[in-house]
Amino acid sequence: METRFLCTVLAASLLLPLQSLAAEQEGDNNTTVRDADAESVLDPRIERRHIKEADIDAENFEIGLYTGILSIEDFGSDPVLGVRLDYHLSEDVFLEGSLGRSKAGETSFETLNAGVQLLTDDEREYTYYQVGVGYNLLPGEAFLSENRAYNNALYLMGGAGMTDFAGDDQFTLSLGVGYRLLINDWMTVRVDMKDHIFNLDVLGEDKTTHNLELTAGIGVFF
Amino acid sequence: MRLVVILLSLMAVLPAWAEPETEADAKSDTAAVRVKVAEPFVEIHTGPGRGYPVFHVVERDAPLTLEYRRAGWIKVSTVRGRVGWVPREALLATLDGSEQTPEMKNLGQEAFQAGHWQASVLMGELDEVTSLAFALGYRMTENLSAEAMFTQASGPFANNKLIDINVQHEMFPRWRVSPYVMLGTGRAKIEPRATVVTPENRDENFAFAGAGLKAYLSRGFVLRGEYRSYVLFTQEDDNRNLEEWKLGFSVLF
Repeated sequence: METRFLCTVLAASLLLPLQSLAAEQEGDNNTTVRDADAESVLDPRIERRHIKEADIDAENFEIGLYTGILSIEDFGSDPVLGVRLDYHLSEDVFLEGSLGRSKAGETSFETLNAGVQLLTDDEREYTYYQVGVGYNLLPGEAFLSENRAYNNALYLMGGAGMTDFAGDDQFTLSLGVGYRLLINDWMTVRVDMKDHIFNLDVLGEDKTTHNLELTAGIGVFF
Repeated sequence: MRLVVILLSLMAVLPAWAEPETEADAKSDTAAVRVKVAEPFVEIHTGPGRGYPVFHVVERDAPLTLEYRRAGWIKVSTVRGRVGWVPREALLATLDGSEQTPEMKNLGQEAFQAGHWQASVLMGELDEVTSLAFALGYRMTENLSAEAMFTQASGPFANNKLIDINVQHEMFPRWRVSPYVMLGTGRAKIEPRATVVTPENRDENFAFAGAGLKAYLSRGFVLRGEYRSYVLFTQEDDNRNLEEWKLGFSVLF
């Protein structure tokens, strides 16, 4: 189920650019346009007022929704849904806070021994929140056709947060890599892969678990 | 399954929402912020970043509409409808309607001296347990800030949640690396781990004193490190002393 679910989401995000392509108008090809002809210099639409940088609308925040698969170590892979908020500090660096939820399945031990339950239903709820820093390592343009280019970036992320799982809060470090494609100047499609690392002692000994998360999502700048 | 439906319907709706963008751009002309180029030319990039190619050049005296800014770049459009990005520093090469250079926002340390908010995220070690803290503070005067902080420290035996309020005093607020001292009080909730057989949750009050350093990096971004010494007023006869180191960053706004 989960795989089909992810495929659908990924396919949907891949189709999005095509749709907006249809909406775009073709760029004009006359290259010798001059912006400073007599008419425009006397353009009355330049208001006689002093402008401050703060008068220009700022759009540094990006809010988004994502979904995908979270592989919870020993507890199988399950769908995850989350929201995130980003603050773009500069062209290189952004800060991100995210909140995600999933629900763990059964360990193979539980599956093989019918009736054995390591965790209650409530304890299987997996909720995490985290704050991190991202670095746009490879910004650039992606070309869909001769006349159409989309801005995009491959970024690295590192963060820390808490995971509420198995009845306890676990301090969690997460590392990840992601890809952001801007459909237009304010809408993004993102694919992220993250490793959430925390210690878990449910299976007797305290061990470090790696919980890999693969998600696709959409975001809006504001 | 419900989630899939919600998500897919969102995806179907959003592109439709995206379409009227060009129209909206044209309409926003009335409220648009406009300047004219004062230097021989200004280069327009295809995207908001130093590496995006320059695809258009606007020469002296040509008007430029400033649409919005993002992460140090400004989206502009020319009278002929070309749309691209210029770095914020390009404003210095333009004049507004009153024949002055637009006033640049001061992003230096001095712009955040008083009357500003500060949001922080700190990681640390509290009594040999990793801790994570979120804080929101307000700088009342150059020297004094008040802050509320939530700390979560989960160790092998217990989850500790601490809420505190504190007052910080910066001795030399104009230094780029500025030392501060702090005093605070709060309440701790200690929840023994589910796998540990111990008594029930405890709530305890505490007070603390601390000292730290704030290093102003750029654009309202601050690196922050501090040391705290706690006194926990336990229900037993003795008070308990705890130490904590924290390191993190703050965003000023």
